Amino acid sequence: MYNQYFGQYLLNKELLSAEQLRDILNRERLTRPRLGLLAIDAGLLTVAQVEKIHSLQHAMDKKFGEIAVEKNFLTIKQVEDLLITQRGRRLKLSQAIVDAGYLSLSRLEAVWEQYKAETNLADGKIDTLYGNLDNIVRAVVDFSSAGTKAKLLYEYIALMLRIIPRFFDEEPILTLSNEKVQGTLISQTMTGVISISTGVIMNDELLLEMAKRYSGEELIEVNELALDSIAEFLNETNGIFTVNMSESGFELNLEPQEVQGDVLPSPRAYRIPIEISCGTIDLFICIGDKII
Amino acid sequence: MKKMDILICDDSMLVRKKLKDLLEKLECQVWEARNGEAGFEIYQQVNPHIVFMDIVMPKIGGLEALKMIKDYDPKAKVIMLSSTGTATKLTEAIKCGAVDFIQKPYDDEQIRCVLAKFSG
Repeated sequence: MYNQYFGQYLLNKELLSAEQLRDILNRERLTRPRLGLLAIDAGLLTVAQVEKIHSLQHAMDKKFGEIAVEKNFLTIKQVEDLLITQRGRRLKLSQAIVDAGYLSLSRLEAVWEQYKAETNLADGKIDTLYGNLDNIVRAVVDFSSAGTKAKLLYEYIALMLRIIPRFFDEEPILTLSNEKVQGTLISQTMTGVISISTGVIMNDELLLEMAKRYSGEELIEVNELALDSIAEFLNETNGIFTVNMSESGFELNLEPQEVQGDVLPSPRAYRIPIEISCGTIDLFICIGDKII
Repeated sequence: MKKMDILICDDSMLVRKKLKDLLEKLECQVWEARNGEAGFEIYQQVNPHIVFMDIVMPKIGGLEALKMIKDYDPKAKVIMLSSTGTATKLTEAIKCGAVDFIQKPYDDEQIRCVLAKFSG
């Protein structure tokens, strides 16, 4: 998982282009053994148990190992051993970058040291990054103007970055692109002690591809079912966000999603472009106001 | 499992389609509503064995529709199916008379289990 975060850092520092980073992450993803498969190979989990955990991961903001332990499928020690095996077998990001000729080894080592210093990352504590994805989001986007509410924005984006790989098998990249996406806005408001509206704008091509992957349906055009698939994805993401907030003492209620074509979001909304292999999603978050 | 009449009340076309596909494979007769108001109307006409009820819907939401159905038929078996699985929402739903609560996205096994549980 840390590969994605270090890769994001390289992109942010303009040491890699978005295209180069996607290439590297795809190579890494193709060689990364899934924890569930490793557990089945080791005779620790059944296929049904792995499927159950994957299903629960869609409804919870938790890692595979956490759910496996909570369900008493695995012990903490077994999860740790599987993670060590997984780390040993996957392609290292640094190796892929050097092999592709994107950066020299000496340059990469210097950047890695700088990265560790900036993220307060000590050797041997790479896995703690998962819980500190906020740090990476903070390195890319600046919500300081949101004051005390900035924490909610960082947490929402970090959640979205964790959710996208689960539903779409993609490694999302936060980009710094100023080029706004033209397309359909799908949004939803959460109300309670604070009002938060979130929405995504994507062009038809990306919307159709994401809707197909999310729904598993044979969609050939952007119709009501395709739009509804993305609306439901947003609804489920926000549902998990409300659960996370509730556990922190903030009760939020979801309102029905809204779908609007070719509209301009409120200038008060924060725009966060997220790139995946088939296009760019413009994510908008607005506190205390609707997106439109 | 005996053949059952099921009402799906959800504003998501995708959720209705997926759930209907599954329930029909299990030989259930399925009715659909896209909001609480339509759901209550269909309930009065059909008296289904089980209702799968979303919470967040336009016009009349799931909790209000649940209360209307329970007022009309105190023995109604309504299972909430929602993405907002907070403890508060769960408690509220149970207080209003829901017999179970499934957080979206559900898996097919959860649906089979609740059908088996409430088919009697």
